[in-house]
Amino acid sequence: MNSFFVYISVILAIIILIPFYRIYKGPTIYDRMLGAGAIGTKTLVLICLIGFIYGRFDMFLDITLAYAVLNFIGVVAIAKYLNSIRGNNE
Amino acid sequence: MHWELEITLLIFGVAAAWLSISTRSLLTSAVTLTVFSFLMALSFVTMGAIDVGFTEAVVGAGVTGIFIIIAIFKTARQSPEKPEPRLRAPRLAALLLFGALLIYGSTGLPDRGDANALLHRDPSAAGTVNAASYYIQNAYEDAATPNMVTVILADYRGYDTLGEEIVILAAGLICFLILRTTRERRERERRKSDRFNR
Repeated sequence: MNSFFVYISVILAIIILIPFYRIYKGPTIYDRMLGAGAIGTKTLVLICLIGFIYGRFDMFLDITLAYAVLNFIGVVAIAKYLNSIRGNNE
Repeated sequence: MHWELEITLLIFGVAAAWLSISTRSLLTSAVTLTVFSFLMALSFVTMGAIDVGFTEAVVGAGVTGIFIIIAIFKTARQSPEKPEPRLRAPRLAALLLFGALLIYGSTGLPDRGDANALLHRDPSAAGTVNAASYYIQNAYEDAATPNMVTVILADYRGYDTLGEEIVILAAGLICFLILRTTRERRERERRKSDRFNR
């Protein structure tokens, strides 16, 4: 069962490649921001799986919730700042 | 322990770091740096140090990314064109040599959570067991927490952590005072832009 979670988490870590490609190629800053947000979401699931591997899911779940809030706030803060800059320029 | 996961995360971390220094657009660099911080935080979590990973995520992915983007918008968006560096091969050789030296040095490090490591074997001045070995041997019984790093940060070194939090609070207040926009300043900016538009 333990190795099952390890392999699932490795597969999820490889799936990070897809938003990473968007960050590498993304023509605008918005694409890159969304890619970073998607990687943050993968991070949440990975932390939950690591919690299962360590057998202390309850503790890792709290950290996961805090990560989720943090990821959301980071993306919103950057988007809001970009928006305010564009509003001033036009 | 879970070397497959750690290797995958570290490869992505190296890729993100390379991307952030090779791109010309500074905004891309900022976003890639936040991704790098997330991956580093995740690899800390795989080692069982949840608190350290969380601090890395808050500081590296959250605060630093926003600050770097604010700084970019107040200065330049593109990094200037760099001239082609001379002496490329010797620099690369020196870099590889240094990396090899670091990897060679890391083979002598003790294992994680090894209380009998050479580093911890010396007794303290009072003749008791070394502090690090004491933490490793007694942390779980003393505090009944599942994480040793948490016990050291919040219990054994509680006052130290309290002092650090006061420093962080002061830094946050200073950032607030520097970055806030007062009503007078906003009015002044608007008047200036009105004059410009007319």
